[in-house]
Amino acid sequence: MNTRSDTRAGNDALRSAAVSYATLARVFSAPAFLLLVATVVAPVFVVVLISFTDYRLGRLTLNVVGLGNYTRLLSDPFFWGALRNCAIYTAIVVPISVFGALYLAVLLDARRQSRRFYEIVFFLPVTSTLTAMSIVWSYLLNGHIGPLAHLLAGLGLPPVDFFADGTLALIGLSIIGVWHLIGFNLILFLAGLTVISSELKEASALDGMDGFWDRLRYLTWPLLAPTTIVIFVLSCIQAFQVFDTVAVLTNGGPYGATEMLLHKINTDTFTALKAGYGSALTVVYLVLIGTFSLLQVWLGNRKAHF
Amino acid sequence: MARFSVRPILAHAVLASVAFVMIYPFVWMWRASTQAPGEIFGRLNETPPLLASIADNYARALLDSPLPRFMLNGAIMTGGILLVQIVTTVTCAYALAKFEFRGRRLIFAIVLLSLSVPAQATALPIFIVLARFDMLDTYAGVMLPYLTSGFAIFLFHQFIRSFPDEIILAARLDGMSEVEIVIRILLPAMMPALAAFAIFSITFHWNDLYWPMIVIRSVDLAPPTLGLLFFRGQEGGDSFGPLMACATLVTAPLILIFLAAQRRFVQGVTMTGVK
Repeated sequence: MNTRSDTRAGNDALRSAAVSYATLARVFSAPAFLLLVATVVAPVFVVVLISFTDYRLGRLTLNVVGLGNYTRLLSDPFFWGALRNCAIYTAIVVPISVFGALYLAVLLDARRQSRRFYEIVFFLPVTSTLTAMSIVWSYLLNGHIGPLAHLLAGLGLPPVDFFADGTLALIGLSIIGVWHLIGFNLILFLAGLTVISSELKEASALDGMDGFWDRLRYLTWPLLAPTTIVIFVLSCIQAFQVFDTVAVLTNGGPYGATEMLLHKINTDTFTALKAGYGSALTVVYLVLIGTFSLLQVWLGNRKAHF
Repeated sequence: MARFSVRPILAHAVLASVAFVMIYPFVWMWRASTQAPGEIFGRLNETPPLLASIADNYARALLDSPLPRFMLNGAIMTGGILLVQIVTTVTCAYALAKFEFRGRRLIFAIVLLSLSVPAQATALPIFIVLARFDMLDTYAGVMLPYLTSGFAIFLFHQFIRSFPDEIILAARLDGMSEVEIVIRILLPAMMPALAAFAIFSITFHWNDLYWPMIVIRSVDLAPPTLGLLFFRGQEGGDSFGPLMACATLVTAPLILIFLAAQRRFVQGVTMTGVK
């Protein structure tokens, strides 16, 4: 701005205007800058520092233990358990919600009148308060009361109690995860599909590609693949951050079967007060999410169509 | 002839059945919130009149529980965060987009960096500082880590950068101060971006459970998410209808905003995708 100011003022005036504009710009950006340093940059450094100590919340002293927390972490079965559960949860939720959403988006892209209606319905879970809906889901998936129990009893099948059994509890959380995430991915895919112009679709139809699967395979998919990769990475980030459903429904149980990384960080740090150990876990979490985020930014800048 | 085949019907069948699963929890929540105790799980044979149950459950949710308080807390926190966020991010974005000054690149780098740091990772140090200054269990404590947003700065920066310089110059020649330029020229022009970000921010903070769970101890200050858990813990299974009425009321505001402003809402929430 200041460099291309076209007032008729002299050079001195221009220079002093430039200086005062620079001051002004600093004043304008200072609050955000200071807040970002205080609430993002500094805390990340502090977490890394605390992870080298045996600090406990509420205690006044601490000892430096070097990499002690990290070696402890490597031999902590509960850490590996949490990581494994997170990985399983992600491995279930991400493919279903990404490819499910892709399939639904392709179906929906061809609809004219009903498209708005379906968009609204599929997006509803994304807007909802997950804490409240988790309570609802706890009844929907309950083995003794609720609609699923009625359905199974009606079919003469034995009751399935999702949150009493370890494996099933993880699947139960995954069901809620897919339900919550799929609409979000669907909207991103629909945005990607509109980029593929209708002329292109007509041209492909003239070329004899009028089969649904043909079009999906030779036209839609190649054009949509970069978008899909970004959505995939994005979904991984979301899935790895699973917390609300765990905190509301299982608290990591039964017997740690649904313990997830973020939930373990929370309980170790703020319930068990082991801040040093919790910080080491946080660093692992930070590295995992940070890697995915960088990957997403990198991929997104390269070729995704939204 | 193939056009009339089963394909569209099949597509509709798939879409309709997925739609059913998506919407069923909401329908069930609403129905459960309108039923008398015992009726929900089919144990009750003589059902009381529907309106009486609705009145009973919602009256208990609104009058006998601290739910209105939770909603008020949620509104104060969400609104306060959004307001401060807009003030700090629009000014910063304006400075980054339209001025050349030393430190500009550093600030921009920090903005970009902050995008890949998840909020939960910074919880402990902020918690320690809040404890040190006796700010745990306060509104300010909940709002503090979110008073600015790297994401908003980035978004607004993109927008302001493409805003014509000539208009700003003309305003300056008319004697407007930079603050006036931000308030009277930029903000009105930025309404679409602001609305989309507002929806993103409101959704995130109204639904947030992680941070309030760490900072808030007293029931009086709980936002709706945490309040629901308090309520569930206190009342147990007997007051199922009122619990579902509470859940409905907590979920309602965002769903209503969504239905009222669908396109903008979708835009706002999917911004996390571009983020």
